[in-house]
Amino acid sequence: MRAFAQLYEELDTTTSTNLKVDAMVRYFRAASLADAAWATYILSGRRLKRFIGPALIGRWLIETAHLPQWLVEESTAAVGDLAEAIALIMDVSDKQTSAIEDLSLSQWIDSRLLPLRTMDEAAQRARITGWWRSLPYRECFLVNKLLTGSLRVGVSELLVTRALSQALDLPRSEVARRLMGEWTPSEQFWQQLGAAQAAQVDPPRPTRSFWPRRTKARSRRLARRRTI
Amino acid sequence: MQTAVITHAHGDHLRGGSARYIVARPGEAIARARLGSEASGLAAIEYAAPMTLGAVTVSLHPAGHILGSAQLRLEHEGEVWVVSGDYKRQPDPTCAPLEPIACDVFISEATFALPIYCWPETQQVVGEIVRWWRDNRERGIASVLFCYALGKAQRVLAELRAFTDEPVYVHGAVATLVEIYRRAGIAMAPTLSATTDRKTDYRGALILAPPSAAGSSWMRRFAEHSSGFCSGWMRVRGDRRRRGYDRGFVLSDHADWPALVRTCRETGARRVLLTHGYSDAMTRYLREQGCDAAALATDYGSEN
Repeated sequence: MRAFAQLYEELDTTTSTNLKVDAMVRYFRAASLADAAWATYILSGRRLKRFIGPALIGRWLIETAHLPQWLVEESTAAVGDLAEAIALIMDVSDKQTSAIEDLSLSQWIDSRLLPLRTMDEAAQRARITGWWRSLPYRECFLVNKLLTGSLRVGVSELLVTRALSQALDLPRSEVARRLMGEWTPSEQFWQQLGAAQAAQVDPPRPTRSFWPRRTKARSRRLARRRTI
Repeated sequence: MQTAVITHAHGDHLRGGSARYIVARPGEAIARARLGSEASGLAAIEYAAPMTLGAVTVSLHPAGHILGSAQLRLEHEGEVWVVSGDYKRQPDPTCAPLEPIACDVFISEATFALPIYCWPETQQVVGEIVRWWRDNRERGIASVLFCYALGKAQRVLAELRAFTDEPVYVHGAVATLVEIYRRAGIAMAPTLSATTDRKTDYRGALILAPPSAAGSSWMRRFAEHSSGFCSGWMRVRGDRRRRGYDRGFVLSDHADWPALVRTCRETGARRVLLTHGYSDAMTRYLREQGCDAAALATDYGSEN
């Protein structure tokens, strides 16, 4: 997660579109196939369905941080985002960050987050509060965003297409075409996304740009449909 | 006022209109510069040296906020009150650290009194500043770091010495105060003026400027640049984004939440009065912990 957290930080701390594209290209080139696929999924605005509701996660925070409910609520209101407020409140100076192994983005999702869906509440609580106690701030923030289904990254889909086209050495229109519709982030998906362009595309598909012309309402409908 | 005892020389704590001002010795030169024509009424006392004002014994004690910053201790008929002024508990090479003073009533600042405010290590933050500067240099652009001209700028310059001995450009408002700090024997990175010479090539340079310079015509000389801001408020992502700087660095001269709670406890005060910022939250929290606390309205400002 450290590498993806680094990418998130780079995207979040610059307004330059060139720097954002460069950061994504660097990530895509260095990442494993599965990590690159998951990063594409997240960066292009697709979202994992939330793992935990805000009421439950808020209660765990109050119990774990040993703070009164009103103070946690006031802090969350001052931050404006529960996932960030948790990461800030749990970012105490004596944090044991060596207590947790750094897994990559796809490993985090596959081996730590997705198994939460079949766990009971006590097991979920033990896992999640354990992460709060041991993850460095940036990773804790990102994991909380994934847990609450609220991870959005400050890049347009057009920029992601630009970065992918550079990283995969494919025309932007071809990248955009291959990202259309529904897909599951996997090594196989990333291989297909980066496959050399066929000499002749068969059957012909519409060439118009898909992303920029979407209406807001349609984006929302699509985003809902795309959650895993 | 006949006599004003000054905790430190920031604009919301030192203002004109009094006949006499009393400051801690290390803060004398700063107060003199800030008071200008009114400085004739200025008197300095050593830290911890008692003096008498009417029926009250008064002394000043280090607060760790900026050079010469002080807590005010007042004693009358065996009862002791302490006014913290602004303070922090993080080490700062530019000023003496706060010493908690046993008292009956403690008037504490509460600028950052929410548990989301917990400061990272200063070295780590200054390391981030240096990396940002280096990255900008590689891109051939200037790095303009906005920070309060009194205290924060000098602290950054002093902390930079652990990373580099390269000169740093400073805005005129910063330069005047850097000079006062140097005369007080505070070691800081070498500085150059970013005010006089309009022909300087600032590409790759680091420039320190007060927040008021942002958006002014003075900024034009830097052409393409990245902007950063040093403040405790930079802890929260929304605040970083709203202020419109490229980068936010979490560096504050105020106490964070753990330091506020710890300090109020260490004074042993039976009553705590809170000023600034999130004083209501701090009041309620301390009351729930069994401390007699109340909010106190003042005209103090918040950290810029």
